[in-house]
Amino acid sequence: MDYVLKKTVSSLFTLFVVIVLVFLAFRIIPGNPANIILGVEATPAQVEELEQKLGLDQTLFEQFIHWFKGVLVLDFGESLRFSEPVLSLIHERMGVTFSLAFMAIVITIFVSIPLGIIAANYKGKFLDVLISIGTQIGLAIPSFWMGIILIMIFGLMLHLISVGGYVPWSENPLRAFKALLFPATAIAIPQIAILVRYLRTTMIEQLNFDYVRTAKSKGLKDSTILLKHVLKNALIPVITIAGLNFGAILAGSLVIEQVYALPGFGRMLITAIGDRDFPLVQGMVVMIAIIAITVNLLVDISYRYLDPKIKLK
Amino acid sequence: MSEILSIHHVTVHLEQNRRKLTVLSDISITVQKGEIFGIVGESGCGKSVLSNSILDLQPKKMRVSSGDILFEGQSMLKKSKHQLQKMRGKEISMIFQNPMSSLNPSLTVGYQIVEIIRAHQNISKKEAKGIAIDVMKKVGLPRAEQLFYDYPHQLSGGMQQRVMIAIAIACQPKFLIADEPTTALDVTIQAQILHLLKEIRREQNTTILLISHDLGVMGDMCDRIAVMYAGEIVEIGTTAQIFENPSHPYTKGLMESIPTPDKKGNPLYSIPGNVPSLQERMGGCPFASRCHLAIDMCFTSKPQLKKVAKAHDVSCFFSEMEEVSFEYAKSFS
Repeated sequence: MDYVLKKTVSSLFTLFVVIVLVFLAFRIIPGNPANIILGVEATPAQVEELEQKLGLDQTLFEQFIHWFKGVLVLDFGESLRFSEPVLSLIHERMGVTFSLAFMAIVITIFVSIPLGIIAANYKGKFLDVLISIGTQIGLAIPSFWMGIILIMIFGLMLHLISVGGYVPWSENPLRAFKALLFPATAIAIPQIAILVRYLRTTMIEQLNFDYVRTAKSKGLKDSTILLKHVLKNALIPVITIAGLNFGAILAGSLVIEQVYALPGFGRMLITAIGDRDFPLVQGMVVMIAIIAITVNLLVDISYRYLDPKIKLK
Repeated sequence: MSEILSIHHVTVHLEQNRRKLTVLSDISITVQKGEIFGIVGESGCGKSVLSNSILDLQPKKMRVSSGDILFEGQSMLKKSKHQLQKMRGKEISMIFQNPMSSLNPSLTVGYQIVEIIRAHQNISKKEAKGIAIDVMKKVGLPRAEQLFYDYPHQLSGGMQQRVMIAIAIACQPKFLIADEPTTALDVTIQAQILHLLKEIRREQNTTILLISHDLGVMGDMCDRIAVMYAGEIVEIGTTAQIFENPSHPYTKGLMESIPTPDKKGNPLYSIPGNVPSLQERMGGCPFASRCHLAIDMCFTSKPQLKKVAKAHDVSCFFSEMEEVSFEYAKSFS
């Protein structure tokens, strides 16, 4: 079977499993949504009426089928708390979270690849040691704390960013960019630290391979050898780590949104869980899962470009 | 004939834990233009280090600490990094032992050939591709146009080595270093590859430095042979001299261990022991500890290369005493 098709099918299967698990998780945790919505003083009759309205009186299987049909067309139902369609709530907040995650990824790639190459190329020398110390610090500091420190330094002391000044991209792209740059950096720093260390190790490993000597014997420039021959082989395992860490980046943006008071997924998800607003939580989790699985699918497909051996499998 | 490469008293040291270990000691070789010069010896005797140091490709920890390497009369050791880079692949090319690991697994065969052409000639990708396809055909790669887009792992070992050779000769170098080019291949492919190397020499008058542990291979290929042992040259001469009148006990041992039809039915001879590691090397003759003839003197003082015939040098105290036959000595062991 074609590689891309095979990977897509397995991704769809993963997504289905996530959808089932999300549904079940909410039926297993204690707390009746109808009770929570109506408060402690509600009469059993009122509770029963609302349960009926929410479809909670149906069997689990019927509820699932009903919900699953909706998911197929991205209709996650209506939020219990906001009485609005879940999809439009997600749509409002999605922009912030995903642009945050996307910016964090871009920063991670553009910083970690050059740093990893430099560290490997100057192995054991001053620059390598400096980068190594930097990555140690980056790994040790949690991103929310890093976020607070960045606000302190760049916001309160240097006045380079306006704290809490987010406006949607469509209104003022420059302001949106400025508001997201530092939180995205805070998310990116630990990721950069991981990838730099990983890339450094794989590059050094690759540099000892025979094909590097062949490349030298051909009279190629050092930079060509490093960027064209070594990097491509060294990136294969690094891409895997980067793909797996995408989840961490999304989780990181949920936390960082709190620190920077950004109107993204994070806060809505946390309050929705507290409110037992299960259509909203389910919708958001499925949405995050779709994105994460898509990213991993793209990673798998990018292997094909990087590692020609995969084409045969 | 004129000299193309001459290695003058080259000594190579390895720095390890602040200790200087001698990898090659006082090696001198002169290669004439257009000849196939063989270097033979067991694994670990320094053949590859020697051939790699010509283009400064030896491991970083090893350094040529004395002597000089002259290519067309110019010192290779005094060349700048940039000058060396320009010579690699253009003037002097290399073919390595294991084609699978010596080719980059994630670049196409065609790219890897085009790359060397474009590194030394200022031409377009399209022109370079044309040259690459021609070279691929020359080294006997079938369906060159399709193979151009294949990756190394899609090729057999013999074809991979042909690709390596195509890369090496793409810029028509004057000098080709083939470091165990057939060791990783099976016997029939081995013969084809050796035949190809001979053809290249004939057609382009390329000088070839052939390195192998297999004296049998050398006999068919080389004009002259140097026998190396533990970082030293112990015997050097024309192929006929080495085969008909091997004079160093080590060369004799190597000759004895070539399987030939007349030895059928008898166990094949093997030289007892191993090549001493860098740490184990001591003064005196490097081969003394494995030599049947060794006397006290062999362990304490070092024999020098001495002429036993025209163009035939041997470093052994016994080489002058012709009456000491190898067979005779073996009877005592």
